[in-house]
Amino acid sequence: MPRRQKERKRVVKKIGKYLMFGVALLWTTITFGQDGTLTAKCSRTTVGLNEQFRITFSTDRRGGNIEPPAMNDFLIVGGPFQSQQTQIINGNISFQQEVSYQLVAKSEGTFKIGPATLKTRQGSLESNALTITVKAGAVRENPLAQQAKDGFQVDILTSKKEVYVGEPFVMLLRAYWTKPVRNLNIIQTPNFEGVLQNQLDLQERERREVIDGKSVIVLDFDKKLLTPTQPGTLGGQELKLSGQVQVPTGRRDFFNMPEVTYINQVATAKIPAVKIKPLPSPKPAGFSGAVGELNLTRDLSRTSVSGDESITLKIKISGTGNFNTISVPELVPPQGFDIYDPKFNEKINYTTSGVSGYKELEYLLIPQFKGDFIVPEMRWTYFNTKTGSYEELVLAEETVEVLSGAEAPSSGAVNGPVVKREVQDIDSDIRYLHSVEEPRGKSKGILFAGLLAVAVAVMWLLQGVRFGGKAPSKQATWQREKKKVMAAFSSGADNRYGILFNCLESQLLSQGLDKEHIKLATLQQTFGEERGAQLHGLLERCQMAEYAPGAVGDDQWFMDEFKTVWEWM
Amino acid sequence: MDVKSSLDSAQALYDAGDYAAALPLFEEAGQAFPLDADLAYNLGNCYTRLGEFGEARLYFERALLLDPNNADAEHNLQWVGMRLSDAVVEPTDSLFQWLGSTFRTVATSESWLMILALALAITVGLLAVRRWWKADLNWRWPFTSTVISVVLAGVYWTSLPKSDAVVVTSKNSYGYSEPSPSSKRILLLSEGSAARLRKSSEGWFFLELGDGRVAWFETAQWGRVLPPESTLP
Repeated sequence: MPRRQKERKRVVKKIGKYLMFGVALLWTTITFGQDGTLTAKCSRTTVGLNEQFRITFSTDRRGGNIEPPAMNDFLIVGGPFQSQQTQIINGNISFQQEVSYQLVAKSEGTFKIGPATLKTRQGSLESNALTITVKAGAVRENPLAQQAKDGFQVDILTSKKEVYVGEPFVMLLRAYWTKPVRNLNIIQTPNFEGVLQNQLDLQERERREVIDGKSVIVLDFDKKLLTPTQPGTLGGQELKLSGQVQVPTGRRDFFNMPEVTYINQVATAKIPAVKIKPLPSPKPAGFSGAVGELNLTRDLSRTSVSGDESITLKIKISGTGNFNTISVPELVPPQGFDIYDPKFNEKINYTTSGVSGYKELEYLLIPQFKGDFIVPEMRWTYFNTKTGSYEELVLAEETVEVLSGAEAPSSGAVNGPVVKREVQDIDSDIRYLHSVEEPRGKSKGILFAGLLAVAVAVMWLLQGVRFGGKAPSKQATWQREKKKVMAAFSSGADNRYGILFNCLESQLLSQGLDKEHIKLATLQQTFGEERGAQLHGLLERCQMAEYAPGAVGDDQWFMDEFKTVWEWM
Repeated sequence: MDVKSSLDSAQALYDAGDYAAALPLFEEAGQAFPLDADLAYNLGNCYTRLGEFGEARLYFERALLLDPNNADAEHNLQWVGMRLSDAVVEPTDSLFQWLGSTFRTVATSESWLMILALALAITVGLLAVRRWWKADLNWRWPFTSTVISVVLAGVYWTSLPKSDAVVVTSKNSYGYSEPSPSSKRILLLSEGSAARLRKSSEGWFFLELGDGRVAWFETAQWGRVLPPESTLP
């Protein structure tokens, strides 16, 4: 076998070995990976009510995220804290992933924490469930814990213990400690229903105070303005704040310095009861909704101005009350001024003694006309918490004298362009009385006109008229036809014989004889022998005369014959 | 005392400068004859002399409404207007009211009524002639006169004085959001301000100003330019 071939065979064998090793390694990894466990463990299964404890979920399977169970009966004080660890010892590879939480129980009792889950491509795992017993007195007899508890406390302060609906009060959340505390964490704050809450500005700054003869560090960390909207009682809601309190262990280190340790501590406090009283009924009409000890003022910068000066008018509510919900009553606009949109000013102080300050609308009035103008009276009703009754504040009318400017027109426009009168044309005095000879009362003529209208209607009914353009009656029509024939012959119209023939024909038609029946026998039968013959002769001659006028008789004969025939027809 | 002698006495008192004594006599006549433009004018004069410009304006407005050609009433209204501090945007007349005023400028309502009566009489005459004496009278003649009568009736109806204007007769009047003195005050109008009456409720007027603002006002502080009982013939 040539050397080159041997060398190739050796390389192929080597590659095969590596390949087999890789496959074996992959198989091992996959096989071991599919096994794996997820476990849940708790630092203690019996804890005190406000005692922190740790719950840890750990797995040795790679990939995926551990999904914690619902922990509704506990407050999560810290976490999730995650860690991963991979170890290779003597070729053995081990892996561990952990998720832990720091918890505090909400109430006493026995609670179950369900299994956590881990989902990976290899499948899902479930941990074991845990049962935790919470007892009020189950805090371990640890002198350090007691020191921590004594050295770190919280409190809820309210500005008032009894308020009316709508009367605001301030709630302050405060922590104080005698021992150093770190990692403060608000776990739970009081929550209310039927109360409007406004967050107040607060400078969170630690300060040192002396309380009960002890020097303590005080921190106000939350301040809210609460405005109750319905009667009842507030109280019972809890504040929970966690922190790590530094306590001495009683030991000393190498350098003879005292050793300290940090104890996790949850400080709790309940809001003191605040009674919310309803406003007395009935509420007066026009009640503004303001509650407190308030005052309404109006300030005019001047009451006598010339036409080119402006006036500043301020309406101000001041005192103590529900400033967060009330608004300044608007000015009833006085006439004779241009009024600009008001400027709003406010200054409100939120303190533990209540809400005080002012709200103000500042108007700018520009006189339009010369004269005396009234700034209207204003009324404003609020509930006085000091007297426990409704009070109406009245700002009396004030008169502003405008010394110069245009005369006020009675038909002008205050807010639009002013229509100036031609005052030059008006005399200095009014015109004299009119003499009234006989005062004019309500007209009787309407009765007369009404009667006439009725008469018109009746007369129209009596007409029995048709509006089609035909003659209103046969007689009238015949008269008109006769006039037409006579007029034609009088004027010697060319078609006079035709008009005569048509007139007779239409007359016969109205008597039921159409063209085909205009024959001698028919006419004699209808009108008698003599008259029938006379009519027939006239018709014959008419037809002949149309072609040969003058050959069959003169016009006078035709007119005489026509009149005779027309009479008896 | 009859109306004529009462008015003579009122004028004599006015001439003597005793306006306060003349006023009740004029008022009595004015209540009996609310549609007399000259009486309204005289009442306006009386109130002007007494310094009650709101009432004066009301009566001058009435005089002008009844007789738009009354130049003296127009002059005195302007004279009073210059002495009133009111300056609200006043409501404008509707097209119908403007037409009525235009017709009254041409002729009084009574004159239009007489013209209407004449047209109706002519129509009756034409129809009677056509019915009993002259049957061939063209129907278009009575028809045309009937149409003219109908048009004249419309003109007469339009020319009848109508007004929903009201004027502040007291020194001032507050406008409320509801027809109750305890409701919110939203407006203040001074003597002589005018508005349009939109509706009324016991002791309250719901009024609209020329700029569209509306409010309830106490009836006692306002006067109607035309008393409601005198709007129809």
